[in-house]
Amino acid sequence: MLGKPALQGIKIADFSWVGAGPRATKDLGDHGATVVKIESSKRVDLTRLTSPFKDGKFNVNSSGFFVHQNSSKYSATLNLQHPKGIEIAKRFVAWSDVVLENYGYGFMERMGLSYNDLMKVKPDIIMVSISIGGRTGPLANFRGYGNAAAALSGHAELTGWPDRSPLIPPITFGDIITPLFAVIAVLAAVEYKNRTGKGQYIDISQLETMVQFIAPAYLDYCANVRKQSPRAVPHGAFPCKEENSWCTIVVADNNEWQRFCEAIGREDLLRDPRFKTFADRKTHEDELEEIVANWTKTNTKEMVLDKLKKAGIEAYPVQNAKELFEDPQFIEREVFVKLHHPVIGSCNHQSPPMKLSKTPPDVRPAPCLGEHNYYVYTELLGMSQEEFVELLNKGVFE
Amino acid sequence: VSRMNHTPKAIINEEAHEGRGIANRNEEVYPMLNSLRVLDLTDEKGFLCGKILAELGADVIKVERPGGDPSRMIGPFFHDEVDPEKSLYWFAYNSSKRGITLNIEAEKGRELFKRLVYAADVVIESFPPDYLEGLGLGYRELSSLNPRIIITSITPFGHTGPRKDYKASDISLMALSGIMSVTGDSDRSPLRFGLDQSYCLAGTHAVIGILIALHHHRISGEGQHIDVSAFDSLCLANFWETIKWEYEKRIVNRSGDRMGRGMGTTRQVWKCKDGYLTWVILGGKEEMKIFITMIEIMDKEGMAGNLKSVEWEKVHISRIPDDEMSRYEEVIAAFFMKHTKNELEQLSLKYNLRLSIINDIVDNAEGETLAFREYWTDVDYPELSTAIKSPGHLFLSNEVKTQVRFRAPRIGEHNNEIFEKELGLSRQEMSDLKRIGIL
Repeated sequence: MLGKPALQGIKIADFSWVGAGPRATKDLGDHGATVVKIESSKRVDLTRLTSPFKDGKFNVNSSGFFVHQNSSKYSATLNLQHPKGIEIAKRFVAWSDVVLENYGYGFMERMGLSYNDLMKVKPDIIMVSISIGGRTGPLANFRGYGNAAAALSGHAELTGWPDRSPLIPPITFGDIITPLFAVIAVLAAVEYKNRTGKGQYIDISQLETMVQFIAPAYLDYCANVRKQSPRAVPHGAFPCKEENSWCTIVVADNNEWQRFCEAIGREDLLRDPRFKTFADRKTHEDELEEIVANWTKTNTKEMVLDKLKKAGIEAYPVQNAKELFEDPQFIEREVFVKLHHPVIGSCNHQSPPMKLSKTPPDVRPAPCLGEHNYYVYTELLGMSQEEFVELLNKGVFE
Repeated sequence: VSRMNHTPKAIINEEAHEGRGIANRNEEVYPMLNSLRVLDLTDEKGFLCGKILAELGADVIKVERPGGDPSRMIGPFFHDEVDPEKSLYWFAYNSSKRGITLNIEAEKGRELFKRLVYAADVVIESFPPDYLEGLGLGYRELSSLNPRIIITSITPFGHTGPRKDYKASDISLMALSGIMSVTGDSDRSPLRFGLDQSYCLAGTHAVIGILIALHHHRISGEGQHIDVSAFDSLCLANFWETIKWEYEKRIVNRSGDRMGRGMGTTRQVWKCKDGYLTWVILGGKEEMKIFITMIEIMDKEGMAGNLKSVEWEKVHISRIPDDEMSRYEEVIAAFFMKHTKNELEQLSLKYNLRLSIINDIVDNAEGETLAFREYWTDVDYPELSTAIKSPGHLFLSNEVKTQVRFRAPRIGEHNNEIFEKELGLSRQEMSDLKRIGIL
């Protein structure tokens, strides 16, 4: 029987913006945590200003990029530059279990919102900072774009063709990997606090978390004192008959090799000493890939996939985004859920890729700028009507 | 076991942070997940999940088939010696775990496994869907034995959908997700990323699932099943392309070292004297300031060339045609070629240019940044008479430690600790079980 999302009751004061921070608090919100995105119309989250927009028209509430990073949150606007701003920010701290931020170096300190300041308000607060190179060390005040961590960590160096320059993975990979570690840090810190009563300060470096994902390359260097040339054998896909149409083919063992050769009508290859064992095929990979490509080029993608599927060989198409939306697996897994957004209308929101049998997520639409001010300030922070109106008139909630 | 007794000298360097107030107050550091018992039956698709849990403090026991898991044969290998006890791939993702062997396909093995599940909190597995059910070890059976058990399945496609029973390796998942279609150069085949990123993403998402389930367990006392799909994880990582299609009906092709800039592209990978770097010219007020600062720096060295002839404040970068843009890019490229990575990194830090060096493995392993933060841990491998410098903490904290605790397990290394000491098997039973291929 399906129940409620598991994280109900965890309160997050989310001071983060742009990429890595919002993605982390989205995951927590999707699973039921109360996340208040504290933003400002004076300094709008750059994600709200980034295309694509609904109908191509710019509006702070209709960026598809923003929607994908910010589901299941409340939005409250607060002007931290206003004399009253910091006092209200501290009320969020007192209310919350977790404060998360990814501002530039020193910003929270200048605002009077450092970990020490926060502890004075709430001694057992959990504070999480996300930055590109960590809050200490030579890169502490380094600022960069979403691709910086992929460049710094070695991911770019491991991607691309050996005879050309390194390749930046085209998905702002640091903003994908690091938020996962931030969610892990938050949940583990909540667990630790439940056991010990203690909060903590957590400093997450995009560079460091990304190195975790390519650890074998580092061990290879450290143990073998060899600079691996990881781009030496890129595994590409094979071209099919149609233009810019590709598929992957994976032949794992000798049985599959036999079935593969039969399927493409090249039994003669079975007697070719260059391709006898897996190791032989690896050694002569270039020649083999050329032979395979010559076969795939004369077949449509559908024919390639069909023939190999019948032979029990792993083969899949390289899909583009349009094809992905039509992929029955993608559809049935509900990777995206369609929700009604107040400005955009019906649009896709990301749904978590782990399905919990008893506590499923509850993905709610991404908020408009300041959409929940009244609820957040009066219900969550417990402000009186009078105070709310007074602060509103003074421009504190801009 | 050679447990590491590595306590970082200073988790947070106080001197570098005078007045920033995050001193390491505790000499003692504690694990975040105490006394959590995890049975890890995964192959390479799920390795990272157990490793992260172990480094948060859980007691993770790798359960391999007798003779060792086939994933021990994934290279690279220590000194290039192909040997199940020398896989660096295995070392990298299985550190801080203990290890036992057990044939769960045999009746006696299943019995022992159930006894282990009885005392465990979490099981992680990456078998094809229905495999464990077929052995009578599915969620229903195991939860009747231990209602608080959390079973986590990490598979290429998840446990539902038309492709759930299909095999797929990392490259195929990258292809299906749409990521490969935009990775690489337009004149060559699509590429995957370095190493198995789909598995790492799925494994990390699995940790999140487990921590969420633990939170629920703390409140309700019950466990649950978690179904993690590597394909789903990758599709979400590819959201840029999916939103371009959803909102603009636009499909982008591979563009190599260039990235989209309005209707054109802009160069993002540049060569310098001793390597590569990434830097982009973007539109917008703040971005333009950065570009103008860069031109001023170039001009000081007499290298600003045709960039000086433009009033950049009045220009829309996104409207400059590609051929004109490439004439400016040539000037910038010449400037970068005159400088080293280190010089450019220092300039970027000083003037906030948002330029990043493209580090290679050696740059990071030998460089200052990670060393300063005491990121690396020397992990002892006494059997190989060596210590291997390995990636360390998941993050830094003033209160707890997340660190590689000890090296990855050897085949059946902890059979005695677990089966004899914990489950009370006699020496005779142990050797009998070993002889008939159960341990």
